[in-house]
Amino acid sequence: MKRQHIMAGSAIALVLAFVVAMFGYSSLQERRLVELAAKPDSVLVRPHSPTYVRPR
Amino acid sequence: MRPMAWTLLLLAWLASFAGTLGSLFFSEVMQLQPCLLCWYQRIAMFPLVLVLGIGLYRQDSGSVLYGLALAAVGWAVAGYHLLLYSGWIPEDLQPCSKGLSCADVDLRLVGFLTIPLMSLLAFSMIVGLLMAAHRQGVRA
Repeated sequence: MKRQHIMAGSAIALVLAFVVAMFGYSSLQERRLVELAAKPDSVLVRPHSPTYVRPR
Repeated sequence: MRPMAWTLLLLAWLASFAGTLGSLFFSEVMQLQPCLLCWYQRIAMFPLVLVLGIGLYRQDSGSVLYGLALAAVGWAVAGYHLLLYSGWIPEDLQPCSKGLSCADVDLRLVGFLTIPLMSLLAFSMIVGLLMAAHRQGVRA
């Protein structure tokens, strides 16, 4: 295999890994926020405010 | 350029490329703002991708020395940053008194891997690989 091909292939692999990590991190953050918002006793809910969740 | 020297240069280039992408990941994806010392290390790391990349493509052994000079500067700054981070250097001496602190712990991977430690490891790897590539080039 030519040296330039090895170089180009490894560069493409690194950039692809970066893109995959970027999307993976974004979806992980989104899932965390959804889980936090779904918690009835989360910091986003004040006890005196009306909520859709039945109080314990 | 000898095959062994080229392979060592390729590994150094890949390490600098991975370091650059990792640094961009922390700042652009994870939204961690780089401190002043982090910027100095970026100034040494980012051009390495171009300098070593062009040297690899053209099989120019001269790029090893240019890259080595940049990597040595980055290694020194990363070492200083790690000493500051670990508390070995008093905070009064740090150049980051205004704005972001250089000694704040923002991230700790696998329990101990902080950003200055990762930077020092990356620069150490690049310096070691480039020194080995330089020796191979001298022997040729």
